[in-house]
Amino acid sequence: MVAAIVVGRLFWVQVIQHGHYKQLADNAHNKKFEIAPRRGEILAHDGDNIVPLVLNEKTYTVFADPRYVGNKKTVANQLSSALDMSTDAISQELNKDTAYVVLKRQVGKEAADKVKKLNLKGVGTTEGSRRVYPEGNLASQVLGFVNIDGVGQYGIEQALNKQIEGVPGHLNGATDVRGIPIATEDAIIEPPKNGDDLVLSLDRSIQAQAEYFLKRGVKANNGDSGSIIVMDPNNGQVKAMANYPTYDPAKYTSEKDVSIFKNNVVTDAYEPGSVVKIFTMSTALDKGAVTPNTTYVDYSKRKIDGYTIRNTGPVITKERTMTEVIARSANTGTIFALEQMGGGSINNRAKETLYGYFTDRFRFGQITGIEQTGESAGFVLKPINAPDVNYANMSFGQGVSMNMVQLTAALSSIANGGRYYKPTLIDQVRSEDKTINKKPHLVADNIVKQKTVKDIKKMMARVMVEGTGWVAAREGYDIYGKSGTAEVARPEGGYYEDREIGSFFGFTSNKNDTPYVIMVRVNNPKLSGDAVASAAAVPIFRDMNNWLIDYYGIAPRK
Amino acid sequence: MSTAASYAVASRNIRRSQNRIRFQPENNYGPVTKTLLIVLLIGTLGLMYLTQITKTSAYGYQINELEEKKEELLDENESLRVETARLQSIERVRDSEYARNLTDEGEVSFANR
Repeated sequence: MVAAIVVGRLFWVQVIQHGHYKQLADNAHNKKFEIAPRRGEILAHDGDNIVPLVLNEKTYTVFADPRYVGNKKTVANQLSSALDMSTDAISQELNKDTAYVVLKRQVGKEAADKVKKLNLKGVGTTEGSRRVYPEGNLASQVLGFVNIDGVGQYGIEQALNKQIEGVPGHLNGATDVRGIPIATEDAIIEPPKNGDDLVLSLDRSIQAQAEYFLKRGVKANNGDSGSIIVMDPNNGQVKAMANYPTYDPAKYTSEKDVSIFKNNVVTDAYEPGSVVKIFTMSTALDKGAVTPNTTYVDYSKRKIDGYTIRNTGPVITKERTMTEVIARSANTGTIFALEQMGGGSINNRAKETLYGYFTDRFRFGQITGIEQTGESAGFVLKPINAPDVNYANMSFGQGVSMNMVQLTAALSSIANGGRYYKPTLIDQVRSEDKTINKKPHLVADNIVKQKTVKDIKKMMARVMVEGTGWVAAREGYDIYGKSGTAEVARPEGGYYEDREIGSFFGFTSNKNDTPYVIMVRVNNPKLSGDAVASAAAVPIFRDMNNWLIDYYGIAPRK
Repeated sequence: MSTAASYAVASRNIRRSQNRIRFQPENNYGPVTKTLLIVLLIGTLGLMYLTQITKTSAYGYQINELEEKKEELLDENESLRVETARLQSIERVRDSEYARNLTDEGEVSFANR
């Protein structure tokens, strides 16, 4: 009878309830682990070499379950030296009425090993990783950073977070009593997919010099801030992109003002002022409305819709050519050119023509799609019902807004003979199984005629002789440029009286090509006398341009 | 029948009858011995099975140890890469004593204009 009961019970437990007990056993021995992917590295060029800008470093989080910690005071004392923390701070955490407290994050391997060696009950470590920046502050606003949750913030890190972060893997298998997985046949391993490594188009040396010249130039003129970009006009690749002031991405938590994280070259669309005259004049030349020798009488001011628009500088009356309009940066001259697009007045035809070229050819008013977060599209007023005065202002760069990438890409398309390339920061993508070299993305060809390119370049060359660019001239070199001093718009309307933005963009042409285009911007420089804000940007352009001439080994003309 | 022929027939008969002789082995094992032998056999097989399982488990630990070692080496490699990159950073190179002792290149002249 007893034997029958025993056999019956065994049958019940082992056969009928087999599934239930197997499940219990599996739960005790088998565990699921998430295998974190490696976040992609970010690299850059340095001449012919590739150098790292962002790497990964293993870190540890030291945690405790206060319920299992024995003598909390002793434990706090022991951890204090290992973690380089005060005993009080640790005690405070250990005395919390909770099952999980983080004692310290992002602890190095040495400290984590010390904690492990202490073998304290209720105290443990978990592995993680953090970004390290061997080049320090270099290109920090382009790169962005990764927050405590492992999510990219700002710059490339945020814009391409999905591509860089990878996909976690999974391990489902038996563990030993310590919870460490044992290699068994039936373990299910789904390996993680590591994030892609990105090789940026930035050149480390150009970037470092750009940051150096920008900082020096902004400080020399007591500017609030500044930005610089260097682009290869032959493929749209950005060789340098920087802002001043900047920050150390490894210490981003110590920054109080989050606006420092923004890459203003991309995010800050502004009214650029007279640099836009290059695009207005290109439009007028391309449409045959004017030639470089077309003249008009400049009275130094124009009254439109009841508003008086003036030139900068002394009030004179003079007959000027279109070349002089660019060289002397006469606002009245670009208004004249705009009028010629409409057959003599700022009518719908003139507005439609300028709007069409600005938005369709030079691609203002729309984002470029550069691999950065928060790009500002800027603003170009549509011609329908637009007041004439607004279009008059637009002709010399007020009442429109553009970011520096848009302006540099548009100038690049003039520098390279009429091809508009999509601006990019990525040169190569390296995944686990393949490397993809990014090809230049030609958005549009022949955006202006070759004759227009030739004429506008001649006009820009005059800027370097008799205009604001003379400071940046260099004997024996074909340098082309244009300055811009812009008033700063108030959010509530109107313009600040005590704020100006100085800009300068230009390029140096070699025998057969133009290897780079530079644009510089300085915000609110404090200049002496009657100097305009662009005077703060020209020396930065000059320094960068002279350095690049030597870096690229551009020989002077015979 | 000649003598030779009678030998041949006899020899054929012997060969034919060879398989007909049955040798019965002497069965001295009783049921207890047989049971013990089976238990011993099962025990031996069980022991072999356990040995294999233990070995597999031990190899599992060895694999884990080697993987940990590999991880450590990879970590070390990463740390060294970071350190190398830091040492070769442009800021460090620019601030180096060697760089500080370099002189300005002066005016550049071109041989082939």
